[in-house]
Amino acid sequence: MGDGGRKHSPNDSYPTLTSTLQESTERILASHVPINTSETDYELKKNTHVQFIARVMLQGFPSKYTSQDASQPWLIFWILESFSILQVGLDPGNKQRAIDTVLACQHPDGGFGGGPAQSAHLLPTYAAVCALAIAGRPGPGGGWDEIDRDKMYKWFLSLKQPDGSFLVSHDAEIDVRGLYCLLVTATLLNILTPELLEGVPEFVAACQSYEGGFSSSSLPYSDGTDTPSFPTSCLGEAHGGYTFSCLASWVLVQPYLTALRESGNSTKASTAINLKSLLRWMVNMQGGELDLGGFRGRTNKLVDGCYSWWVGGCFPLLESLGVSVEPRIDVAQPSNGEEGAWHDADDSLYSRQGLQEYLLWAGQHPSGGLRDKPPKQSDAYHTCYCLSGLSSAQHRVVVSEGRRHAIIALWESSGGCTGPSACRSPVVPVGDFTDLLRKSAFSSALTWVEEGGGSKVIGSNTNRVNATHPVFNLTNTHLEGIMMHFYGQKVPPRTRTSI
Amino acid sequence: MDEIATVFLKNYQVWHHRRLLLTYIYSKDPGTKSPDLLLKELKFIEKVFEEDSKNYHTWSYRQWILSNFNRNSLWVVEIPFIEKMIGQDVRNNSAWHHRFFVVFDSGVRQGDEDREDVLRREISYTKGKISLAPNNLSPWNYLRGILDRTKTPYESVEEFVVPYTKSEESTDSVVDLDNPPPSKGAQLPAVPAVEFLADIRGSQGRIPEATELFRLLGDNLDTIRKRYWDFRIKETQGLSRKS
Ligand SMILES: [Zn+2]
Repeated sequence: MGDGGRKHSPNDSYPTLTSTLQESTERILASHVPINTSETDYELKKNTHVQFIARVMLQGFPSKYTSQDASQPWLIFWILESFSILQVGLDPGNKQRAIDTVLACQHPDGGFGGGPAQSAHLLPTYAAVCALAIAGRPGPGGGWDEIDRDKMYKWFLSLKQPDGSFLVSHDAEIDVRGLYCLLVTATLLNILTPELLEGVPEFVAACQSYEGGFSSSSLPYSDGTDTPSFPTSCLGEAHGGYTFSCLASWVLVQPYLTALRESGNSTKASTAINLKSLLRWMVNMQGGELDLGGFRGRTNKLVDGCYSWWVGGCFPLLESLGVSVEPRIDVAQPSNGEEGAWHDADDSLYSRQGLQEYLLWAGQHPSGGLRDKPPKQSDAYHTCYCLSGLSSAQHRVVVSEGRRHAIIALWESSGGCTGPSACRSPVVPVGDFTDLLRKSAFSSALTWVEEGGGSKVIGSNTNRVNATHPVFNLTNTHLEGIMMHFYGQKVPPRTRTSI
Repeated sequence: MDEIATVFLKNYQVWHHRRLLLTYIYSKDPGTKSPDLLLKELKFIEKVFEEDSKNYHTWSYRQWILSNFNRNSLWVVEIPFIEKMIGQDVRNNSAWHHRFFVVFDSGVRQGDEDREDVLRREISYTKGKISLAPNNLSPWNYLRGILDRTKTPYESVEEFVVPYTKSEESTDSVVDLDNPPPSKGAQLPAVPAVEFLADIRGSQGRIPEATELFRLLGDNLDTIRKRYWDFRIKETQGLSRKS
């Protein structure tokens, strides 16, 4: 192993705590650069990772683990999504075990907690519903119809604040991760309403910091003496996890903004975020030569494998909002919904190669699983988000207007709803605007396709993993399954089955 | 309680509990409780930073106290505190963000009513910090942030930026106090300076020069972001076609 003649980050002969830490990390990372990069140096050790995830699944969490950040639904989601990306299906027994464990975390008053009998919290609620999207099914014991959507919706509304934000839990703080979790859950379960979304775009926009990335939250300040043009301030600096949450939330409120515009309310729909400064911040999170092209989560912090997804995964989201190298030509779609063939110029805005090299060389733990950085241990969280980031770097997943039209053409306004808990929830108000929103949310979520053409996979083709949805971090198969169920709709078949 | 917070630094729930506690105490007795307790809390946070000066939740908690109670006696301790933090590590981006929060993002502080004066003060402070370590992105981002927020054109600091884009040290012996030169040990040209100058040239409509600078970044100084610099070239040239 050597460093391949790579340059250290400049410290301008002015060392501080930050630059010293950066330097020692670069020294460790340098020892992970292969000397004469043969194909084996680029191997994604799929089997070792599958074995690692299987071990985590058998062990579960130590019982004393009760933090909301690392709760049972999360652990199950990380395991299931890691398997999905690695193209591993679960046997019916383990699937059922996952469903039952998740359902045991449902709170009697709606939402899911970190474990049985814990209070409901937006973060595990997201993880629980996404885990059920992967492992669950309709019918008794299948998990989907056991989700109490009426209570969940009422609980969501009870968390809502006047500025458009949401508490992550009763008596808890406001945090944009919670907002993302809520929007994903409401979109999947068909309980997204104007009441829920009122003020959300404004709140998200207020969380964008001067650096371009997003903060954990924003706070109205109560300075009575002046008339501020910026009535809110960002709590905390621009950060990868919060930036992903805000940007994905921004993408998830687009159906609402579209519906507002279509119903003539353009003033309300005019809230904007600064895409230019966001892009600049995102590209600056990619580390230099001796960071091996990994991503960091904040300016002047160290690279970490999980930001492969939280920041690397932001690029397709930004592209869906119109920021791309070339205006993409969406070839008229064949009616079967097959994606068109585009020219294969790599028009990414970051180095896909760099990111894949970081993950393959530094992200993989020799005894299985993926990690923050060497010499750290691997864990379920980093395994899931390193693999998600790898998937994002390998595949180009884009919005296809052709597929959107094909989905809308199949839309049935009656919803074809027959099952007891399918389709509309009785507590969700009905109305033309809500129907417009529902149709737009359904088609927008399912309109992402993997662009055909050349591979962006670094290393041998056996490194290829499944594509994952840029907004939901689920495969399209899982996403379509649960959304068709809760919306009572059908979608046109896909010709490519990988996503 | 202080002990618990310093042991479990990463645990934001501890900060949340302190937040609930402060809210409770002040809702019971809003008028008479002197700001002493809040000042003590700010002092305590400062101590916690000795162990982890970039802890996200600790910074957010501090910002919440300032914003929520919004007392002049609290705001006035912030600038000296920030200077201490940035003095300890000029690359601490959390401290730079905090400076933006205090000076530009939370209303107007007592004594800061003359906004042009504040802007001059901040630009001058930032230039000084850039000169210490010109490749440090934090003060460059701060500089962009305050110019953007006050709608001040980037070219207003052109004279300062140019020496940081050259590879050789300036032979100019005239000392310009407004525009401190790069420190002796600086590694030049500095990427954030070249980018800054490219943006200035773009805004001036000097497209070939902007293109040349972006090319220098993509081909030579900052190759990992080559795709982004190529994108900026296309964008800049597209802008010139439109105008
Ligand atoms: Zn991490």
